[in-house]
Amino acid sequence: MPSPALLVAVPLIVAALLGALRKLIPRWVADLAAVLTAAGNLAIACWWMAHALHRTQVYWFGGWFPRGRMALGIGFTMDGYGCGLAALAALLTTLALIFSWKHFESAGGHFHPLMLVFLAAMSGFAVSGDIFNLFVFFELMSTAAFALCGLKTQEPAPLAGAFNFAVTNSVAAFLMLTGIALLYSATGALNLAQIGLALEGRHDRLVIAAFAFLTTGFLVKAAEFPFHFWLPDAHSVSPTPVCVLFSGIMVQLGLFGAMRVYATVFQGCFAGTGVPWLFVAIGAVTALWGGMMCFAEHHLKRLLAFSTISHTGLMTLAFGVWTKAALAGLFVYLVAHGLVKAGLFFCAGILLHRFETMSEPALFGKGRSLRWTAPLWFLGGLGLAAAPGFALWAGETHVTDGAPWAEAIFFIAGAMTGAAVLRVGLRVFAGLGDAGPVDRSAKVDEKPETTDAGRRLSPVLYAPAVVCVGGCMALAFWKGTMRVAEAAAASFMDFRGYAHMVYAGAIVVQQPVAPHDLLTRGIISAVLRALAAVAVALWAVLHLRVPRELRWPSHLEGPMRPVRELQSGHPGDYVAWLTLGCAVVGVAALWLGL
Amino acid sequence: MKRRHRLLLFAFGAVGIAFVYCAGALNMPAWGQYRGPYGDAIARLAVYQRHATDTVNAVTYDYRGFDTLGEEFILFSAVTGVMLLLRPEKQRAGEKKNQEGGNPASFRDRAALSETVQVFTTAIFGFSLMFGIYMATHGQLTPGGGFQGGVLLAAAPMLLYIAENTEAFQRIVSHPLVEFFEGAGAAGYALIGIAALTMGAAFLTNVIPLGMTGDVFSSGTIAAISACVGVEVAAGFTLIVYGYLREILSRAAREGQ
Repeated sequence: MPSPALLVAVPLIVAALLGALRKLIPRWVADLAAVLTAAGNLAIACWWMAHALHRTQVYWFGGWFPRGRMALGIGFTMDGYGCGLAALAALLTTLALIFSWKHFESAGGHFHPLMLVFLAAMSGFAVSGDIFNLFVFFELMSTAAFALCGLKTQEPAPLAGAFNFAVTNSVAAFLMLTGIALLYSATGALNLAQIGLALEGRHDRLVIAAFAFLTTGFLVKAAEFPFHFWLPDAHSVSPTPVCVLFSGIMVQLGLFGAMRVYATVFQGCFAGTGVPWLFVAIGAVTALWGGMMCFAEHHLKRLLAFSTISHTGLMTLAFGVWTKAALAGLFVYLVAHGLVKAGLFFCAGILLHRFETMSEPALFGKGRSLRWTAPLWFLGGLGLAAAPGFALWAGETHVTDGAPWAEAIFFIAGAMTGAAVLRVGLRVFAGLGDAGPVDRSAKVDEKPETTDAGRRLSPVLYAPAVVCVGGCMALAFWKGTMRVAEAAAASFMDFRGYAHMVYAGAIVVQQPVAPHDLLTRGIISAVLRALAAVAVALWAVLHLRVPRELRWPSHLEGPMRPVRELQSGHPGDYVAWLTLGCAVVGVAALWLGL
Repeated sequence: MKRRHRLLLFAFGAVGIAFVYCAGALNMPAWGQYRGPYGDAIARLAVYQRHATDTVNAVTYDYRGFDTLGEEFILFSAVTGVMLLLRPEKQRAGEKKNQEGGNPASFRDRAALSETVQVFTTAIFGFSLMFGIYMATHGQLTPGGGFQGGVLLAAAPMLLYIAENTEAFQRIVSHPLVEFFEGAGAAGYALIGIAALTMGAAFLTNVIPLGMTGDVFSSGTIAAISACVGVEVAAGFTLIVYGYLREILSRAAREGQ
């Protein structure tokens, strides 16, 4: 039985040793050690997930079992949801490290240690059952991410992007710490189960203020509107393997932190109040805003970053619905989106390696020679639109079951982000229409990140993208996907069972979940959405001869000056928005929760 | 966004946050109404269970030692990040040749240094080292511990810099072993945790004999971890100093050309 501590300890030890010996060991040793470590994490996380689906597993560090109700030490609580995210983090890290094998600039040997520390932090964050431990891993994740974001120091832009990222996320960490302190003053506890039991469903102003600060802190990491401004800046300057981890799992872990704290600490307090609707509202605005900005972008990494914002908004909406089916759908959607987005970033990385630019107009028609990248890119675009045959579709169907308004938001956001990716594909790989408008972000000069940029493509560049896109499609066709997700969601929502496991380690009998067959019903809207995405993309590319007023895809692609100026790149602006957003969340929670 | 608009936006947000915070804080337990049984329990248990007279370190290195492992690696990745961001220009461009910058002595304002300072800083160099080592090894007995001791140790070479013994300073901070110790100290903490696993106990269980309360070699892994952290912190801060110094030197060399 592998100890769950290995999820964190092994990557940390390997990172420290790679850092200590970075001048002595050859590149291939660092590559191999990092890939093997990440793959080992994947195996351990999958092993624990298989067990956690039957019953939540608890592990006390230092052997400090709780005394009565008081947790003396720190515990990991491994449930299906957390282990699943740890496995996704390990899978994406493995693929990102394979992608960077040998070719990728390793920044004097600093790249591998930071990637492994990042992996350890994400794994620990996913399965921790202690609120302060969550904060520590949040910080560790951030510190490694700031450094990885500024990897390409030969340009000034990466430093600015990493700086904005660091400033906003540090403010988020302060907010979180304030929330933790408020909770501690009320309960004297740091263990999530202990806090939840101590609060006993009280929802006075203290609890609501703690909720507002903690949630805002997590939602900054989850890049929800209006806390999202740092994310496109960070993505446009980060190297490809780092983008994969940011978009595929780190942002979603921010949301997961908010979910975990809600499920354990605040669920009993806010049951029957309107507080979950707060998440629905934030998620809906973020999804639509991200979709719009995504279509307006012409820098490939920024475009994908805005699509991440949009899709994480959809996940936040699903979280706010807070039913078993919605959380199961959210789980599938999260994993599937992580895979598809990682695949698209790998494709973007291949384009950057081959043509040394990320600008859509500059890439126009150049991709025709890439026979393998093109289909992967188009499949990824359809996947983002949650077309049938991709697991996002299965997840979406469960979230929107019986909620036509949610279906409408999923439809618009999915179609917009899918259309943006397909539009890029049509221009870059098929050379249709013209090069498209040139805007400020498309002019950003991107330096190559590989040591042999422009040369032939080796299979290590393709393989990760194939695994990601293929994996997302396989999940859609595997019969067990929804069953696993529903078991994970059921135990995630069940706080009584969670607390029981933490204190007694007893078996909780779970109600069997009736198998859903929603897919046949959802297929019509999924097909329509995919068709809409293709139609909008073609519409934008081909400049159909229709009256000016009807050419809205071209308008959306155009300057959109007032909206884009919000994304000013000034950290002060971002912090001002963050402050205002936190205040709105707090006041709204007081209004809804009291 | 104009500066005025930004400030206005921030002001609205800050007022809102202050309102929410005050609403919450006014609901806190009254002054003196301590609701945390944890502190009381630890104060009673730590000496008995862990033979550690400093309960703060018993919490940071034992009861909640897993958090401190994370904190230590926050420092590790911060140092790695600084070294990455400040790596030499040539290395950044991917070229092999590594050009050394100027001499740190040239940046000191020679006239500003009095002899008293020079003599005194040299004299307390040894004390600083000794005090750092004492701090890092006595964390289980008295306030202090690895983090504090490590910072004191890292301050010792700076005293040499102030004393204008720049040659010795540079020899210390640019030594390749510094980087090795930084990683080894960080790995050591996690390896102590793994050692417990090999004995069939949970990660970071205190498996070393606890010894006599009040002894230097007491409290088991608390002392060992504290020492590891001391090595890591001392080396980490030295690396940061080295990174910034190298950056200043290469910038000055560029400007001089």
